[in-house]
Amino acid sequence: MMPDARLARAAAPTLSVVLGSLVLGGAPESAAAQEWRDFRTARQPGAVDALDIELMYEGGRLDVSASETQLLYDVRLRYDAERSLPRREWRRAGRTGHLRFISSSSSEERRDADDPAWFGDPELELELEDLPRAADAAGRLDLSLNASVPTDLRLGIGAGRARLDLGGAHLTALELITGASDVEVGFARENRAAMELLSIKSGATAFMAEQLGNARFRRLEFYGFVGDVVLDFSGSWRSSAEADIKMGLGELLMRVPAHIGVRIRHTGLASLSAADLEKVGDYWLSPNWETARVRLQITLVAGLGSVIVEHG
Amino acid sequence: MTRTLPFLACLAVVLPASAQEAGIADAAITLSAAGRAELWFELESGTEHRLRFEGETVEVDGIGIGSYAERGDLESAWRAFLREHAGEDASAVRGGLVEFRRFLEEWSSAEEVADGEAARALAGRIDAILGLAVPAGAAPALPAGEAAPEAPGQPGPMQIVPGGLGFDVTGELDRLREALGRLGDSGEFSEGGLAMIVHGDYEVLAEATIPGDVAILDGTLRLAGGVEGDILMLDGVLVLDGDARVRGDVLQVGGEVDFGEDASSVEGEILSDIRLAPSAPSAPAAPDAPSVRQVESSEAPMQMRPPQPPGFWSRLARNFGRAVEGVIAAGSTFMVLAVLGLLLVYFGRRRLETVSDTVRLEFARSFAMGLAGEVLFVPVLLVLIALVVTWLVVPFFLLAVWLAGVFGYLAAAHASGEIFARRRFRTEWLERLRRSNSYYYVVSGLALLMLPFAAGAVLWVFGGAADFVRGLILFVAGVGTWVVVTAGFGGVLLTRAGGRSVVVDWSADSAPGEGASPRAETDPPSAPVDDA
Repeated sequence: MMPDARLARAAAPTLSVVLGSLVLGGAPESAAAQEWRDFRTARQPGAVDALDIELMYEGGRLDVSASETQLLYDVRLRYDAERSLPRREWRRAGRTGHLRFISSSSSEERRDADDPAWFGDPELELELEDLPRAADAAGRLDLSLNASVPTDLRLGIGAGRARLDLGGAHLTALELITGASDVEVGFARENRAAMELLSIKSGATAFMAEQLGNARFRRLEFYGFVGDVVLDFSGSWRSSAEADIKMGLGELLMRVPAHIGVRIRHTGLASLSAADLEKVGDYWLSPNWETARVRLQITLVAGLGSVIVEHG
Repeated sequence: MTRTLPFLACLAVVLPASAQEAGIADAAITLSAAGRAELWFELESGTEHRLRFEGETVEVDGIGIGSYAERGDLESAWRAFLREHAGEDASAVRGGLVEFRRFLEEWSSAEEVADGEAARALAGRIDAILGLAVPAGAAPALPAGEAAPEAPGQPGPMQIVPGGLGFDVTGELDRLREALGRLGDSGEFSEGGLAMIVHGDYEVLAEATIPGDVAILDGTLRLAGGVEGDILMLDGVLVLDGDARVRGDVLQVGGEVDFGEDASSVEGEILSDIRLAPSAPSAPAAPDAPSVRQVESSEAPMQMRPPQPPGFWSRLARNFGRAVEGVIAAGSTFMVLAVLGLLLVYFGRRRLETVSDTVRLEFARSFAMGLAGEVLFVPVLLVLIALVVTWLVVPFFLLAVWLAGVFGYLAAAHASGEIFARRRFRTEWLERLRRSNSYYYVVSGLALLMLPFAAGAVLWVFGGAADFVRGLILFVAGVGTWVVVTAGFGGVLLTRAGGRSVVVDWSADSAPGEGASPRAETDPPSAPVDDA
């Protein structure tokens, strides 16, 4: 890593408070030439019978889907080589494969491409501030998953649009972190594995998740900062589940099928509109809460904005 | 010779029944008494070939395909064939070569093993080169009892050239090596480690196996057989038939790959990085976009490497551009802050001067207070968030901190400008710069604070040679900025945004302990001399 790059990163938290927005607003952006490239990495399952994927994409268009392909995974990226640099790491521990893929944008990161530190931490935690920035509107990334191989999927999306068609996938865990994005997540078909935790952290986004009942999650964690959020819990539920939902500022719409018993504990300043639910003590209960075979317990903290619950 | 023997399996090339026979346009024969016995010819398609007996090795296109016994029957027959057709026209040479091919077929089974293998291999190569139809059951290199493969019906030349060619491909291999460098360290390969180099149109039939890596430089390789190693692709076309199998990886930096319905024939990794035509930037990635590259499923991580380093002039232009960009950024920041500072002087001069005096005269105290404020920032924010009901306050809290930081920075710049203005300079032109008013203090102070950033940016002109100095300057500038911001922030906190003075008037007559207390918060700030 070059000295000034280290400095820039070290000083960024302080400088950005005072100067960051001003510099960004005042400095003209250089018009660099473009060099578009197609990158692809794919692999057969071979001796791998479980997969752990960690993917971070600075922006553009992201499509994730599950298919009947014989490939273990298939990542296709179209990128501007003058702005981005894709990097990937593949490791195999026992019969579990680990794929880590990042497409980063900044010139500092490009110059640090040989820095092994990025690949050095096998337990890297995804956080919003770690997301690469500077969306590349014309770039896109397609990720195809093998529907037969149990997969832990962690996705970080900086900016842009993302469509996650995860119906029929074999997800054992899903962690999704988005920056300023327009994100749609759908489970058109039932997930092939039970998912212990479905975690979503959303920055300033328009976020929609459809047919979450097919995801087969036992626990949902949704943290939204700013934006309009739709959580559709329809689908073929197999067992009861819990959801921990925190919203900062914005509108949250939750759709819960009629046959699901739902109980909501709501705190925060945001208004709650739940015409089909009844307020009992600290909870909002659906009429079938006591009798429903499948129940959904929601702990909701919403700061500012509105929350709408549709049951039926 | 031992290196070539494994490739005999590769030479089990059976021509399809529908293959077109190739005519010979030109031919030349070289015979020496105890040395080389060579036939060179050019097909009507323009492809040149060379069949040579020399040093107990049978070579085709520069590649050894088998060994022969010196002065044995195989060499004698070859020399007899060459002598018979020396000086004849090309069509006669072709007819003779076809006859010699039949001779090899009938003869080989009765001779010793080495000559027999060479004869079978040579017959196969002649079939492949001339596009001769092979009689049923006459596939020379097939193991006994194995059925002949189905004819794929591919027209044109079909050959496998293991290990090298009769012409120089060093340049192409160098380009391949450089291009593979984009994909990672494991893209390195040695020319000697390649089992096959493709530079033309070739086919590996189903029963054939390439015992190592394959480099495709140009042309088309249709693979129905196997590759034990990796396929490295610079350009051209690779077609994987249904029964093809690649034990290693497919690494592609150019050209096209047809994987068929899926890429299940590749046991290793498919990795590619291909530059697109400049006119096709924003189109979505095609589903069948080609790609390739090899990497073992080893534990070693692989990283992409940036493109090859640019030339001197492009580096110079890039460095100059970075320098200009940095100077513009620093200048723009200065301009924006200067405007803010001037507005602040105009509308809030008293408060600005109060904070500035505090920073200037009570610097340590201001810095300590600012540091404490910075340390407490995160806990306070967390408390506000954790209490939920206070979320409404969070934006105002963040705004207040941001404003305090900017205000403090401008006040510290004012203090710096005042210190600069009060200093005596030996040079006359610096003395002329001295002014005594708040507008001047703010602008000059900001210039002083931004100057190191601009200087660091200018050093980009020298590129990597000045990395250390540039880093050092920027480090000092960054630390200095943090110190200034912290002190300014502390000054704002101490004076309640300039609403009260906490500065001791040391110019008063009374000494400490005799009147003026260091904590005399009602002491007026030292007002600057204003000549505005």
